[in-house]
Amino acid sequence: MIKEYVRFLIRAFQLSFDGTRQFYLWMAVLTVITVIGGNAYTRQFVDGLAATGMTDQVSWGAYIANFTFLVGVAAASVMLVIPAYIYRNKDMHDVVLYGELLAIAAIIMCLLFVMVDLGRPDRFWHLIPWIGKFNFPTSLLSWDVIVLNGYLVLNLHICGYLLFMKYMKRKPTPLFYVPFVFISIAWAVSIHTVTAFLYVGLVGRPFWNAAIVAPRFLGSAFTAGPGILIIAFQIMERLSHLKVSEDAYTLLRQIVTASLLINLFMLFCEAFKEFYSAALHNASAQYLFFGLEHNGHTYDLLVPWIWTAIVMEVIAAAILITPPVARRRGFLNVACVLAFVGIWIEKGMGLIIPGFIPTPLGNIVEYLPSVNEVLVCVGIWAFGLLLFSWMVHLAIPIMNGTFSKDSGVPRATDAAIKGEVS
Amino acid sequence: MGGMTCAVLLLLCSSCFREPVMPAEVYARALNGDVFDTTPVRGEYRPLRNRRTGFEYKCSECHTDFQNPVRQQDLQGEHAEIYKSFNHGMNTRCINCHHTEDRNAYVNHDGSAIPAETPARLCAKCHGPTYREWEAGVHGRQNGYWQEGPEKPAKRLLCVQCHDPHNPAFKPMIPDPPPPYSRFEARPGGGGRHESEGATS
Amino acid sequence: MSEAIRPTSGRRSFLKAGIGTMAAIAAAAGVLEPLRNSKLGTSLSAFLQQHYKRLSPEDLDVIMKRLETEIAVRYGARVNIKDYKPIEGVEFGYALNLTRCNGSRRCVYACMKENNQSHDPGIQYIKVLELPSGSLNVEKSDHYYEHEEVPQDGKFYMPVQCQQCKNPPCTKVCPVEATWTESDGITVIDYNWCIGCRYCMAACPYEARRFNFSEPEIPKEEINPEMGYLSNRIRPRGVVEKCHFCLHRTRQGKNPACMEVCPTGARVFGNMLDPDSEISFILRNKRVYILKEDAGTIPRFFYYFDK
Repeated sequence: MIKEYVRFLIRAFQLSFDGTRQFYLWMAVLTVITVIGGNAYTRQFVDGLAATGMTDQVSWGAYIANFTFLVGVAAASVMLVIPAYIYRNKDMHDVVLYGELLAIAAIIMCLLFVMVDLGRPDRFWHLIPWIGKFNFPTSLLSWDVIVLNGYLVLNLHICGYLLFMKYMKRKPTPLFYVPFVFISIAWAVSIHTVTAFLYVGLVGRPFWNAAIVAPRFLGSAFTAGPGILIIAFQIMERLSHLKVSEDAYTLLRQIVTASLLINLFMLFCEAFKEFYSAALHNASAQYLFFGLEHNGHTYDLLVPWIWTAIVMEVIAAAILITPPVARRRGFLNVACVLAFVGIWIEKGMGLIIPGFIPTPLGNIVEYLPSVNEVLVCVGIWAFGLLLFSWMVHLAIPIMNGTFSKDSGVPRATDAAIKGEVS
Repeated sequence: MGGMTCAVLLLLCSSCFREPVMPAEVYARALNGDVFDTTPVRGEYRPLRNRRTGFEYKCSECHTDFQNPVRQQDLQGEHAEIYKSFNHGMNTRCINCHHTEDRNAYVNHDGSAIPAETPARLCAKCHGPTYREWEAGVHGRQNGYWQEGPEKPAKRLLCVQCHDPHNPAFKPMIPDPPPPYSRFEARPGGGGRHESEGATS
Repeated sequence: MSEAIRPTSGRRSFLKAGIGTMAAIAAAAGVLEPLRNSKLGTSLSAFLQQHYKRLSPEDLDVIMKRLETEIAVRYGARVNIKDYKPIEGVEFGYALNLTRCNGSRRCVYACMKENNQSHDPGIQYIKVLELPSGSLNVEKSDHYYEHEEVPQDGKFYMPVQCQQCKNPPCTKVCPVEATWTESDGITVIDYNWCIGCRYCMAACPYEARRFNFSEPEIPKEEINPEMGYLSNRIRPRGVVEKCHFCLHRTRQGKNPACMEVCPTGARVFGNMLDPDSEISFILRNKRVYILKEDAGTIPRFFYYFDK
């Protein structure tokens, strides 16, 4: 068994370097961007966080914003797992694995975004329970470390086990993965709830200190995650012989539609509460949506940013609630991209930055990421995509049986991947 | 992909970027002086002394020769300066505070002398609540130790080390420079982008 | 290149793997390029240094000697680092009389000097807020006022620094217990344990915490050589710092630096557990208030007006 596993790993490694020209080009571009990002991070490592645009006043920026958004993408795989395993939806069962692979890539990106945000990355070991000094259960960040790593391990186990069994041409033993699948469902909700509580628990930041943040996080996550999967599945269908059923798309589309509407509703609830009461604590929302006048200056850097997001989400919602339009693949794709980008804005920088503006002492310092900071972010995104592409590249031939213990040396030529040769 | 597109857009926006300001110069102004200056705003207390042409003399050195005026007149000569800046509310009579016979002392309600070494007792005649707080150590400046002991002196200032008795309101001061607006800007209002160079000076 | 001319894809994929490995090495070199000219470097003992509470007195002595040497090398100053312990039966309190404060900012600069705060990037623990009379809304405050003289008519001045809360949100959120409250009520930071996640800065309702975005710059002649391990020793880069009631002074019975220089005597500091102390007198006799009482942080820093 161990021998087979080692052989599996070696052959998987070989297969990783076998692909079409498109695949090579795509991976090469991503690698170059990742290297640029890595180089930018090393520069930050040398110069310290001075290389970022963060200040004492706005002490979290693009890194934490992207982290927050990606936790949502990771958690969203549960929207495939629930229909696949609880409702035994056949269509979803065929593609659920790719959702889980996306979760793995997203979680790794999350962990990277947290790492690059640390002022002392050399002291990361202080976070390891028992070896370091882990402030559990008091600190929500310690909870986040546990739930994120736990979710990563759960998904690595489930995907790894299923893929290996498929490779071995054996039927997976339910006991070895089904319980973990059910744990992962609750766990997916927990990663996003804990991440929301990271902000909700801060009494000094009224913009975050609101109960609706956690449900809004889930609402937006279940929009962005399945939304990007709709796009990813189409790309995978085009480039490989993976077949995603029309019903799967329909279900995903319905999930995106419902979640987006719920998300917009909750955004509206929040906006109502902030602006109708017009109490002092609405200053952050005022800054975000309309700009804030302070000591004779108007500060409104985020206003175009957030309205872009809202317009995007509203257009996406308008497309999605008109089924004849939404059924057309082109419109659906536009809606998904708009919803994804809109939520990336709204829940990334649109959530993190106004929390710091105005500061608890009523000071206003605006934030823009530095070039280096943006490069690091882009690098991590590229790395995540690289990782996801690589995992999918291995998973598709395993799932369709072209890559198994009995198959010859992996022949992942254009034709083989498309399943034309067998 | 969406994220990437926006990240690239951000990159374009941030090309006109700001450099961190050098607040060291701003601080130098304040820090080059003795920032740890603990001398009282009006200096050390010298009990009822006048100083002129380099000499210091007690009040009685003049006031034994001069006749005490029967009623208060405009101050001239030695005390003209006091008269010019005099501003102590309704307390406008010299002899409310200064003893008519013993010019080296202050006067109490009953006409007895308050020695010049204990000027706070004079102020206490009118400023009872403030005096009580001063006695309790909560009005006025204190230096040294919060935990008093044989080798841990707490130095309590006298009223007149902060307040001019003839014009007791605490005098305005020049404030030390403000902090830099942020890591990137010396002054507020730049909105974050182009103004930092001009505003630093 | 068509699929037809691929005789043995096994050898081919090994070749590709080889090229891939080469590319990976090149990529690693590209990633690590900025390290070439960096002066970074940490000794193994500094890297593995344990949490303050896990150090024996002997360990701490060795560490403080090492830090003294590091400061001597980096800043050219001979300094003296000690570990000051809380005094039994003391809980510090600080009161500030807003009627007296005239906004001269003397405290800000004395604090900078006393606590070896970085000049570049500039770090100050105390923020003096200029507020319009009749409002305690900090959003109406001006942190950057510049006048010919202070106080200005119709304004009052409220200095804010770490409030040394009894229920501090900052220590609660720290994932590695790098910040905690000591028995005398002072919340301290182990600068050699902080990982620089800045969660405490997000949590603090008083904006009291500052981050060392780069290595602190302090001219040699400005360095205060009397340093406390948990207080004013020169901080490393990438960690959070804040006001600690000058614990290296106050734990020796001295007044904090900000009080020492306050020209108006607006500040009163002392032991709240001693009924005869000045601070106890104020808490008994003045109508004090605390900043952001609604946050439930229970500060040990009190404000009051005389009239």
